[in-house]
Amino acid sequence: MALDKLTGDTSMLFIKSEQFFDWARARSLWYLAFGIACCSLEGLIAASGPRFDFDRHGVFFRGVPRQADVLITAGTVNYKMAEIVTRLYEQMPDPKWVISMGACSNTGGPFREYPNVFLGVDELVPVDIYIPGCPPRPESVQYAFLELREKIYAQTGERLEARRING
Amino acid sequence: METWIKHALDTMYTDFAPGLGPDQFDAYDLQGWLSPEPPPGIVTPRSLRRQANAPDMLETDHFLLNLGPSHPAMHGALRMLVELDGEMVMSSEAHVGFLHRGIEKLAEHRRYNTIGTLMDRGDYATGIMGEWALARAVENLGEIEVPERAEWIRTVVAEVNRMASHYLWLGPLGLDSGAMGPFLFMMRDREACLETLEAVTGSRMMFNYVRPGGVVFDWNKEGNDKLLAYLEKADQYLDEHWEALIGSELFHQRVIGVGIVPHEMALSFAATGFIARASGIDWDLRRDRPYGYYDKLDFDVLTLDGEDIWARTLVRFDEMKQSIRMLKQLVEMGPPPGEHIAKLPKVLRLPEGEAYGSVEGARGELGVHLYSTGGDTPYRMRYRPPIQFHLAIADTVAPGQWLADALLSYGSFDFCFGEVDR
Repeated sequence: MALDKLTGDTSMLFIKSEQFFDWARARSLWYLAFGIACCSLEGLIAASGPRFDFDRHGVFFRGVPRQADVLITAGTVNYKMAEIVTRLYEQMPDPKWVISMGACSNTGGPFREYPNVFLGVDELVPVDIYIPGCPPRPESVQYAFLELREKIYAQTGERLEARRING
Repeated sequence: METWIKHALDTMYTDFAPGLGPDQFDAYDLQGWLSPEPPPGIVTPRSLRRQANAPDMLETDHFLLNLGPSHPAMHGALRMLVELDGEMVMSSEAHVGFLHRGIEKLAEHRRYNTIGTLMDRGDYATGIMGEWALARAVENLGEIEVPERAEWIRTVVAEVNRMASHYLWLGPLGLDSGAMGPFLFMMRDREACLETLEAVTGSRMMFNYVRPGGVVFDWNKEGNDKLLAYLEKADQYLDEHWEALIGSELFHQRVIGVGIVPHEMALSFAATGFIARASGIDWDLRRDRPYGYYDKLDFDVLTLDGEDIWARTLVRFDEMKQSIRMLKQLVEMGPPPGEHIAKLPKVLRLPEGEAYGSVEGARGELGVHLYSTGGDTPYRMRYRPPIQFHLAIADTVAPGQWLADALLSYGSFDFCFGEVDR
């Protein structure tokens, strides 16, 4: 918000307003429907299906990066795809988060011996949550979103800490 | 940090323009439409300038549109570059390689019973088919006898996986044609299929279950119960899908006469599977080169001459019905007694030579060609994905259609990019 331009980002007014906005953000995390590989069947398609129904957490897919909050890197990222992943991340509006889904996206997985494959998507974009598994079950992705929600809530504490030190 | 200076929908974004040979360039003949001055060095293909011969007599330009790899209507990591005249597709060019991860190369350094993990991740919608094709190639080369019980289990899991994959195709086809509801119902049924597979193999997607010589785990009661529970409802589910999507007149209007793959094109592009059968080629490996338990089963193969998406839908819908019919017969027979895997050494060494093994995958003939020099790893493994051939067809049939129809026809080929890029 623009409040920090007026009052500074250590003001109590700003911190309390951000706490309110974080509460709202954490309850409507829209992820980008960007399926790279196998993980997209579990993390994007089965997730939006009736069994797992991410919609009840306010987690819903968007086709356009301009409307998305969360980038799920669901699959192996190679050198040709790296440019696309970075570009999509840059196109997303702030605040934005990245969930690295699956072994390929975390470390290169079963394909890490191949020189074309990135050894983890964190070389390209800052990752907030890593999900292990090959592929992770949809429940794991659900848990990742719950963890991400906790991480967003914890930002208020971090701001208060910064205020105590700097303010 | 804005690194993206050009817009993807911009006509000047010609980095990936089709057919950019030096003789097709005309560098500075652009003043008519580019304002104020063309920067030096920027060129546009000649084909992008539209002649004033359209009915509206307008001298507008063709439009280059990048579809994908992140596009809501693209299934998988495919960049399809289309050239548009108004809303009519003039040319279409597929750019692949966004998921290239060296499956064939990595297989050269793996033992024969561990290549299945790579095959799973290649054809990720139907992992069993890839594993089975590899197992068949290894068994052909090593002349390994597979127990009857293993063949029965393989046939059951393959048919269940085929159902799961077809649901995953039909639902998004409905999404592409504007029907959200049927997709949700098909995901419900897909979960029922995956539950069965999970109970039998231990995993929802990456099974690593079919190995050379047999299968890893024996048929169990939990899997049997889940399969029976699914088969009880399966016919009713299919009727629901017929009423909700396939029998709907709105769907007919979108798919009949769209995405036509002529019979000759299907022959000359080596189409297999449902693309071939919807274009009048009567060919099914399960019937014509029987493997597994298929020679003991009674099933029909539907071949249509419709050549359009509607014919493909009918062929695949009939495949689902036949799968259920086969599964019912298999359950009635029950698993034959015996071992579920042949007695093999822990490190399998194959003799010198080469062999080909293929199965009728969910999308067409899925084959593996192995070349062995006598070690415990293959010297070369060639993965024959059906979708690679169908992608060339999708490229060729798109021009001349409306953009919305072209997107639907791309979707009707059921791309799976783990297979194409490998």
